[in-house]
Amino acid sequence: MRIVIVSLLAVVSLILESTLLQYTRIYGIKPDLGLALIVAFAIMRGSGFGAFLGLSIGLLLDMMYGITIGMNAFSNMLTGYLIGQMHENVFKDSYLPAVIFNLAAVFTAQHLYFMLAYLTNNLAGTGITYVQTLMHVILPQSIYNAAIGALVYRYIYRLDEMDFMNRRIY
Amino acid sequence: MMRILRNKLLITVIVVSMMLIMVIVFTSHGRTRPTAVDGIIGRIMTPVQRVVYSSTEFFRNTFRNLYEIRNLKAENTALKEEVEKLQEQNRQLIQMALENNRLRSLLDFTEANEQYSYIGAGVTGRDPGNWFDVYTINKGSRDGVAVNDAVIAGHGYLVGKVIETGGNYSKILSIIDERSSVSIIVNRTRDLGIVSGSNDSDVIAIMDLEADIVKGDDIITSEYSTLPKGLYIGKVKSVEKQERKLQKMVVIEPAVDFKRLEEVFVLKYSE
Repeated sequence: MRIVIVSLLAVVSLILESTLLQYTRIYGIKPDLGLALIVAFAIMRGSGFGAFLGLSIGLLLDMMYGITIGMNAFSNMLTGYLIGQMHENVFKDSYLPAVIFNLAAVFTAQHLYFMLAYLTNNLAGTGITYVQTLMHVILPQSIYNAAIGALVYRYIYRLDEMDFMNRRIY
Repeated sequence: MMRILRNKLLITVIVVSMMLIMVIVFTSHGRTRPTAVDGIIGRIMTPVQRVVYSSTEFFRNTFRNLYEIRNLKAENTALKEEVEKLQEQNRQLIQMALENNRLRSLLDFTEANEQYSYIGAGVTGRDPGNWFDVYTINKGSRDGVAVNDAVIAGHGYLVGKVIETGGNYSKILSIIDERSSVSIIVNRTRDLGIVSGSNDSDVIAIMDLEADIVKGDDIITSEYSTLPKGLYIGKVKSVEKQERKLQKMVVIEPAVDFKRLEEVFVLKYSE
């Protein structure tokens, strides 16, 4: 059951991101709901789940809106895996880890993404520099996502504790 | 090293990462020409994308509508104001266009008949009673208007004649007034007659019983009139034989629309 719910959440978050959240842009930055989802499940379920969710959401993103396939998948999967490493060392019913790990997750994922974009020559000719990206995308995005991520974590945490999540449907 | 190898998850992640990097390398260049993998993915994803995209559009439209409701009232007021302004402008422009047409039709006649001099005038009033049809215009003796001058409307249609002039105004007895009588001629057969007004907007001519006149004939002023000859009066509407009176009663519909008379010309022979 959990896998069904999580898949649904992933698809819904993707749809929301491409639609509703386009209107919540602050200084051109919109929250990364998918990443918040990955972080929440990575904290609660560990590296395996985090990496798997990161890979799935990243691949979906790449296929639907990306140009080079694998960039989001790669950065999100590694982020999910790394955040999941902390899963045994945090209090899961506190918001603080969600805030900190969301900050860290955006940092990690965006840097991986930037690195990949740089290496695959996607940035050639666009005039985008690292400092510019850091100041105008990565930092505001991580702050925004930390706020949104805490909210997402709260609801995901409650949802994950429900009985039906552990029920088998096959 | 063995500890790392025993960590199945890490190995999986590393292997998948390698695969992803390969995918990235493969897809980062030849994307304009889809590879086999790309084609399969595209084939699977296109319907999904379509669903997502249409739901995206749905969400976007709904959200935009909600967002716009806030500004709707102000926008509505502004638009209403603009509509009023534009309507007023439109009215003015339509009036100007109509006036232009009327003046142009007057001009056509004046260009074709240069033996006359013309005094342009605007109609200022109409006898408010129901019986008579006297109009006043805003040109008088000071402008050269004299009693018995002919007054025409657009295309040279006869309106009537001047019966009184003041300094800056004149009174016109129109042809539809019952007191008016004008000598006329049937343009087709040159039969003569006299036309006078009636109690409605038509004019009535009394003709000989032998006069050859049928419905649709054009009626113009004759040379026996005090008015210039050849001014157009109107078309014959109906002909009624009155055997005992040995005459024909001809109803003529004037070409001038007397209900909507605005600009006229006073006609004078130029010396």
